[in-house]
Amino acid sequence: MTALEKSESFAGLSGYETWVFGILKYKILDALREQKRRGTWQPLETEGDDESIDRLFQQNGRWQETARPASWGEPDTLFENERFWQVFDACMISLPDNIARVFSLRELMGLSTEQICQEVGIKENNCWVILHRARLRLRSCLEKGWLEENNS
Amino acid sequence: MMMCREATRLMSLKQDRRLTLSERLSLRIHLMMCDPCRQCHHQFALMHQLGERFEAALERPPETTRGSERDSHD
Repeated sequence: MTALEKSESFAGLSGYETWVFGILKYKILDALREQKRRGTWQPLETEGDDESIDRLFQQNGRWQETARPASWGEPDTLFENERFWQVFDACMISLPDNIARVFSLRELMGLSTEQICQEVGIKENNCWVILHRARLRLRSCLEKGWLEENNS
Repeated sequence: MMMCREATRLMSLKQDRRLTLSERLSLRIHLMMCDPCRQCHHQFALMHQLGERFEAALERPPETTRGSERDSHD
C-alpha cells in the first residue's frame, strides 16, 4: 500500500503514477493469493471485526445519532480539493489491510467482484460483505475528516 | 420493514451487481423516508466515482495520448 501513502497519487495522475498503479494491482492480487495459498486469508473470520460497524447503528438497525450521514457538499468541490484526497488517503490506511485491498481492487482498479473472487479464490458473497464494511467505514472516516476540516 | 443497516447493505450491493426488483423496491421505499440513508446512498455512489475517474486515468494517461491527426480540424 506504499503507493497509497503518497497523497498526490490521486490528483493529477502522471504517466509514472499510472504505471505505479498498474504494478500495484498485481502486487495486491499477489498478496491476497499468497495468503490464500498459505491459508492465512482471514478477512471475515473475525465476526468481532464487525464492532466498528455495530457502533454505527442502534440495536433496532437505525443510525446512531452520532453516526448519521451528513452532506459532503458539491461533488466537484470535493474531488478538486487536495485536502479531501489527503483525508481519503489517511482513511484508506486506517482500514484493515485486506479490506483496503479488496476495496482498492474494486473501486480504484475497477475489477468486478466476480473477477476479484476468481483471482483471489473467495466467494462472491464474501466480497460483497467485505465491500459493505469497507464502504461504511470509509464513508464514516471521510465524513469525520472532511467535515471537521471544513468547519475548523 | 427494512432498517437503515440493511438498507446500507443494499446500497453497497448496488455498486457491485444489479439489484433484484424486490431489493430495488425496498431500497427505494426506505430512501424515500430516510434522509441519512439518502446521504449515505449518495456517498457510496461518490466513492464509486473515485474508481471510475481513476480507471479513466489509467486507460488514458493525461497529456501523453493527444494525437495530432485530429488537430487539423480545428
